[in-house]
Amino acid sequence: MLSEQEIISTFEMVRNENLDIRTLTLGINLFDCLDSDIEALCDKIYNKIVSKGKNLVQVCDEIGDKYGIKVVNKRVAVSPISLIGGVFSESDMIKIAKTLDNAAKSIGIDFIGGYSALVEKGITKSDRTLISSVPEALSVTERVCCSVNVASTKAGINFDAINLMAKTIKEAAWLSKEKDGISCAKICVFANIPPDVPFMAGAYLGIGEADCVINVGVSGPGVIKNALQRALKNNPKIDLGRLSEIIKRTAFKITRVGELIGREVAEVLNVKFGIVDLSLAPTPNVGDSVGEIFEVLGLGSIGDPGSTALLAMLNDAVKKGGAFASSYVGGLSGAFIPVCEDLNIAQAVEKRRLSLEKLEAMTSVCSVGLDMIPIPGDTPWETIAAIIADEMAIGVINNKSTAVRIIPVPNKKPGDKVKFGGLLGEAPVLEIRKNLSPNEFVKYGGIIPAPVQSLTN
Amino acid sequence: MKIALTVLGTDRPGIVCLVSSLLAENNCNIEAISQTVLYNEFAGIFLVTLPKELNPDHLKKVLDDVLKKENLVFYLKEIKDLKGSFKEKTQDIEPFVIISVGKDRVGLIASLSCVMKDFGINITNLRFVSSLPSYPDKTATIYEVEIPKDIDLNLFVSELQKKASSVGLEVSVQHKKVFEDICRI
Repeated sequence: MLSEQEIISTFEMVRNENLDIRTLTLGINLFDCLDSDIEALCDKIYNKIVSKGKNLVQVCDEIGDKYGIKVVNKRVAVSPISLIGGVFSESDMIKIAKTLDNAAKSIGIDFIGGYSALVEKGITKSDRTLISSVPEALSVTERVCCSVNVASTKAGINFDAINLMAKTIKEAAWLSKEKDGISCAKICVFANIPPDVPFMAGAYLGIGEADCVINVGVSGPGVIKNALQRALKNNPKIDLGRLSEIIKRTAFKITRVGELIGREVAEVLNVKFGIVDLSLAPTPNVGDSVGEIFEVLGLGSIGDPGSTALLAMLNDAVKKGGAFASSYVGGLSGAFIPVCEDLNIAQAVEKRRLSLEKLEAMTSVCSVGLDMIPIPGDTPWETIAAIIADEMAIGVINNKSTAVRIIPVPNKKPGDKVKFGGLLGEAPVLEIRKNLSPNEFVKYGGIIPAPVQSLTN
Repeated sequence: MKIALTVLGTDRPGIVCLVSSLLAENNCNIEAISQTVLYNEFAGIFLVTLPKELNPDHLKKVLDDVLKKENLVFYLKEIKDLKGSFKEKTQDIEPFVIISVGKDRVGLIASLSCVMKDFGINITNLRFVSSLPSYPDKTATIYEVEIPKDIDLNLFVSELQKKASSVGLEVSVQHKKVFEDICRI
């Protein structure tokens, strides 16, 4: 028999604390679709995604209803398209993007990831073709997401790729200027990209993964915030060790829910269960913000001094609780601090309490990097490349994943509001410190060699 | 022969001791026992195997003589096997937890439990929580139930919600496993 406390605490987590499953992503391998004819390739891709994913939404909803836990987003991630479309031209790559978009529409999902390339050690002809096609591909599709890995601890930091991506981001922003550069919300530049990320825009199905696999992103920050609030109400003199314990225990609970539902969906769909991603992913709703956790724990705002230490504690405690709850933890598994997608973080930027530099510092202790950051549209590509390079360096040297999802919003200046709507949220354009002299550093190109910590054998 | 012995009375130390001692003196083996105290009232069910030589009427007389003096009420019932019973007919069930939250008033449990009855859903445990942390002015009722696999769960939930909202209740229906997975290692 369940105890009253067990039932009521779970009920409250679902009802009042936004306990849910943030994303359930079906990874689909496309290597068995290869064909030298572009039309045949697109047909095979469409058919495979639809045949494997046609029941995804319905099954997630049914299982979500059974457990009373909503699966908020259902998505698909596919093998890197730079490899699948390796022999084709840029216009053919765009046909593949449209095929992915149509398949996503057919099965009723909002995003499909995998329009991706892995270029940390070098850029092949097909990688270059894919990256060149990204601005147009994202402007003629709605649901396709792109991720490009430009650095790794084992390979180093590929500045040729970073420069290419910086220019690509500028172009993608311009091609979607009517919607404030929304295409850039679907481009992630990575260091150490995990092969099993369930979250967009980074999701793709890595090489070495199963043919079809379910990866799950657990619930958001609201549950942690409420648990901390309760603990502080019961004992205002509680210390950081015990607060950390509360975060750990709560992370255990939300991870268990993720694994329970992920495994059941995988079983019903007859595919492999992959991993649980422990990341706390916020939404632009009140009560569902990572930034609010900072305020509950006594900082006036995220971005104030103490924010990096607090985030380090939060991230570590979430990992400890999650790792105990599931033996198959993967993906990004850290707290997300997106500017646009988190209402409280957007407000901190608006109040000028959170700068790009502080965000960068904080990403050294969480997994995800500079996420959903609107910057002035006239920012030179060299500056964007340099921002990406700094973030990649944090990932490479600390042997962790980091990413940059930055939006140079056309015709907007610092402080102007950008509104993407839905889960992508809104925020003011961040101020970028102007370089005193032109940034020549990034233009050297080449690869910063892999750091000594890559020599682990 | 197996019997179910139900004992009711005002709670105090010694009820279980008294009943179990009487059973032991008569060579009756207790196979299972469940007891609860609600406010100040004790209720216990003892599942007992009687020795062949013991006449149930004799046991009844012994219990009657002793328990009456102690102001305890009892009821003895022979237990038949499961053949033909509700339990046997509905083997294919899933355990769910239904929680209703709202302002207390007459008839709330009757309204929801009648919807459950209409769908052939058996209540295995029922509890009342007088105040919830986030709803201090409301009460919650927790029903642990067995839902037959062959019913339309969505239809049941929608009927239950319809009835609940007509009497001012919020209701949630969740598979029991989610509570176990979240709360237990």
